[in-house]
Amino acid sequence: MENGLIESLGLFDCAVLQQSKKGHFCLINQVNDWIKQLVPDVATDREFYLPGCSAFLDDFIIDAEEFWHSHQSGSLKSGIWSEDFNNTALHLEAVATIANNECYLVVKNVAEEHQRQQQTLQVARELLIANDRIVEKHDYINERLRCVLLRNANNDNVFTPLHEAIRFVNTGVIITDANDHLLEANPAVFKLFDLTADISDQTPLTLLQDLLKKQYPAPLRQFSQQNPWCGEIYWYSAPNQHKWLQLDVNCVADEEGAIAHRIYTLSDITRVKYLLQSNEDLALIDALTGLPNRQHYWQLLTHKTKASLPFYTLYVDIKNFKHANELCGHVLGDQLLVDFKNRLQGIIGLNDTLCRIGADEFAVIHVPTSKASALDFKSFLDETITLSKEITNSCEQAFDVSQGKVCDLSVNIGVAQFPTDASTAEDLVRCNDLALSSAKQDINENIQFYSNELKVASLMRLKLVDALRTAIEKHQFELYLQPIYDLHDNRIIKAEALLRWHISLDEIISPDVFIPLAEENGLIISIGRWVIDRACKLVSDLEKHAIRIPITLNVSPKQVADHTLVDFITHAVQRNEIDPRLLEIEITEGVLVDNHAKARQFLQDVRQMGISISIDDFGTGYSSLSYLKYLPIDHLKIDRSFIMDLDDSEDDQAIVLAVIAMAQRLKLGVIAEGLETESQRRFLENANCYIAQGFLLSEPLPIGEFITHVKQSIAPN
Amino acid sequence: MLQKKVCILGPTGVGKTSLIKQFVDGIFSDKYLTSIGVKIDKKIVSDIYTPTQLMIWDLEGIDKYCGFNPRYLRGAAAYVVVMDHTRTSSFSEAIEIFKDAQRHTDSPAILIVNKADLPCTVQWREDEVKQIAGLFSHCFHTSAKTGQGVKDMFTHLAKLSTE
Repeated sequence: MENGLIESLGLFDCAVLQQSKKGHFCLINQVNDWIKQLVPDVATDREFYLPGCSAFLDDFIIDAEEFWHSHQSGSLKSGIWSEDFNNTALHLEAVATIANNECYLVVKNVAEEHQRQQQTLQVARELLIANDRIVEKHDYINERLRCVLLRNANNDNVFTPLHEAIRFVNTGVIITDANDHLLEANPAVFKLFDLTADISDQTPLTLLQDLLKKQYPAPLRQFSQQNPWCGEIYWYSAPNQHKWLQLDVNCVADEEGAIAHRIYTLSDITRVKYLLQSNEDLALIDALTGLPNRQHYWQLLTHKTKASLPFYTLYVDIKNFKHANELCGHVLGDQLLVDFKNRLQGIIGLNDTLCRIGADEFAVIHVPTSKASALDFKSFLDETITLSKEITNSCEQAFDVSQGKVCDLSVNIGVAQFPTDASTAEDLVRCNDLALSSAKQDINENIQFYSNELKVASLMRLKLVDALRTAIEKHQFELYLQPIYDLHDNRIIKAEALLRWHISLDEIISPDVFIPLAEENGLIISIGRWVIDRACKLVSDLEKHAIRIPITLNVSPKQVADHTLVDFITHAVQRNEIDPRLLEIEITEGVLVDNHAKARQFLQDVRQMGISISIDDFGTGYSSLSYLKYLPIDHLKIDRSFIMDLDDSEDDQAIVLAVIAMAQRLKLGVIAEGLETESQRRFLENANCYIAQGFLLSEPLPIGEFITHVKQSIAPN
Repeated sequence: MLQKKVCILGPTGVGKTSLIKQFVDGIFSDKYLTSIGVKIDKKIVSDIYTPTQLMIWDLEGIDKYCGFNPRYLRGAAAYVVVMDHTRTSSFSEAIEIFKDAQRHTDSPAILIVNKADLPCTVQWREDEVKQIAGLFSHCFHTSAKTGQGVKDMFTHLAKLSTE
C-alpha cells in the first residue's frame, strides 16, 4: 500500500496489519518504524504472531476477533493507550476493520490526539477538582457555623468561640444578624478584599453588599426567604486589582423560624475563572451545554431592553431535577441536561436565544417570528403561548439516559413580556421569577404568564407569611383530631392530629395554603414543634379522660432536616410524661427521597424511643420502594386520591389491592385515608383492609368534641 | 512467573497514577497530570508465597469527560477503587464506580483512601464509611507522596489475585 495513499486517507502515522489466521498477521504498511518497538517480530515479508507483545493489544484482539467474526460494517476502536519504550512514551490507538473480506488491524500513533486531549482535560479536570474543593469547603464551614449558631441561639457569648473558629480559616467568612449588621468577619475576608482590619473605612460586608446590589439585583430578594444562595461576583479595585469570588449565603433561623443570622462564605476563584477562560473561552458560555450562561443572559437582556422591540422571556425550570440526578448519577444527569437543551433548541425560533441561567433553569428570549406578530400584541401572545406549550409537550416523551434506562422530565415555565410587564432587565427578571414561582406552586398549571394579579397574589402571600410568624404567640393554631377506626367493630384505635389556623374569629386558613408557605419560609420548624408539644399534651389529656390511643402527627421534610428535632421530641415526651408508644410519626415518601440519610437516622432515632412510623400519602411519591425493606416503618397510609375513585377506577382498585397485598407481605399495617362512601368501605373490607379514616366515619374534630365522640362510641347502646 | 492483571479505578485526581509510580518506580510528583486512556505497568511482587508479576492497568479517571469502560476489567484478578480523603465528592464517586464494576466482575476489590499525608476533610459518618469499606475485601489508607501503605496495598493485591 502506498504511503501517499495512506496519508491521503487521513491515516497519517499508522501500521496496517492484515490478519492471516487467528493471532497471526502480516504488516502491509507502516509509515514509521515505531511498530517494531511494539511488535519486535513484525515483518512485511512473512506472517508473525501478535499476542504477547502488548497486554493491551492482546485484550483488544479478543474484541476485534469477535468484531471480525460478526462481519459488521464500520470499525471498532480500542481507545487510547500508552506504552513506554526506553523512557519514551508511545500513545496508540488500535482500530479493527474489514475491507474486501479481509480483516485489518490498524495501530495508529495518536501522540497529537493524546496531547490535545491531555491539554484540554488537564484544565477541565483541574477546574472540576478546584470547584469541588471550594464547594465542599463552603458547605463544611456553613454547616459548622450553622450548628454553633443554632446550639447557642440563646447564648450571648456565642461570638467568642465563633470568632476563634473562623479566625484561622482561609475561606472568607462574614456573619451578620437578620438586619445585615456585621457581627463577625474573619481575617481571610479582609485579605480577599485587600483591606486592613484596623485602618479601613470600608468593611468587607459593605463592599460585598455594594457588589451584590450591582451584580445580582434580582436574587437579593431570595436572601430573605432562608434559601441558601450561591453565585459568583466580580470585584475590581482600581488600578489593577480584580478577583472573581465564589459567594454562598446561608440564613440561620431561630426557633420561631425568623432569620437570626446570615453567613457569607467567600473564596477566590480567579484562577478557576482564568482556567475556564484560557481553556475554553467560556466566561460567558456554559461549559456543559455550550449555551450563553447567566451573566451572558443579563448582558443580552440589558442590550435588548435598550431597543424598543417587544419580546418575551421564558424561564424554564426542570421539575425535581435533583431526583433525576440522584436516579441517574451526575454524569448521566449532565447528559440529560444536554438532551433537554437539544429538545429546546429544536423548538425555539431561529431568532430566539436559549441560555442556561441556573443548574436546571433555562431562559428563552423569544422575539416575534413575523412582522405581523411584532405589530400585533394578541398574535405575539398567542405565538408565545404556543411556544410555551410546545416546550412542556416536548418533555412528554421520556429521555433515554443509557442502555434502556429512561427518565421522565417535566417543566415549569414563567413568562414575562417586554415592555408591557417591565421595561428594564432587572424588573423583567423579577417578573419572570414571580411567574415561575407561581407556576411551581400551581400543580394544575405549569405555564404562568406574569400579571398584575400575580403581583397582588404575591403581596397577599407575603402578608400571610407575616401573619403566620405571629400565629403561635397569638394562639391562633388549634389541633383537631380525626379518629382512625378499626372497621371490624368501628372502634377508634388512634387519631390523626390535624392543624387548623384561625387567622381571625371568623376565618380559617386551610392547611393546604399555609403549610406550603410555612415550609418555604422555614416557619414549619417552629409550627411543627408547637404541634409536637401540643400532641404530647393531648395524649396526656386524653389519658386523664381514660382514652389511651396513639396520636399520629405529620412531620415535614424541613423538620426531618432539623438535627435537633429528635431532642425536641424526647423533651416533649418527658415534659408531658407520656408513653412514647402513644405517638406515631407520619412522613411522606418525598422525605425519604429528598434527604435519605437524615430521614433514615431520624426514623431510627424515633423508633428507638418507641414511637411508631407511618408513610403518609403512600403511592403518590416518587420512590423505589426498596426503603420499605430496611427502614423501620410500621404502617402505610394509602393516599386518599386512590380511595376517592375506587368505585369508578379499575386502575385505582388495582393499586389499592397491590398496596394492601404488599403491606401484608411486608408485615406492615395499612390504613386507608379519605373513606367517604359505603361502597369504598366494602371494597376495603373485602380486600382485608380494616383500618381507615375519612368523612364516612368522622370528620376531624376539636378536642372537646373528639373526647365526647370517643366516649359515645365506647358507651354501651 | 505467575502474571496477574489488576486494575486501578477511581474518580479524577485521586492519585491512581501516583500510587503506581510510587510502587513501581518509587517516585512521586506533586504536580497533577491527568491520565488519558490506559497505561499498563508491570512489577513483580516477590515477598509472598507465590511470587507474582502484577500487570497494573492504570485507567483514566472516571468523570463527566470519561465514562466507565467495563471492557478494561476483563480478566482482572482483582481491582482497586481509589478515593481521596481530602475531597468528599470522590468518596461517593468511588462508590458509584465500585457499583458499576460489580455489575461486570466478581473479582475481589480493595478500597484505597489515598492522600493520607493530608488532613482528612471528608464529611462522612464513621459508621457509613465502615459500612462501605465492608463491601470491599480490604481497605487501605495510603499516601503516594510518603509511600505510606502503598507497598502493603499492592502486596495484598498480589495475594488477593492469586487466591
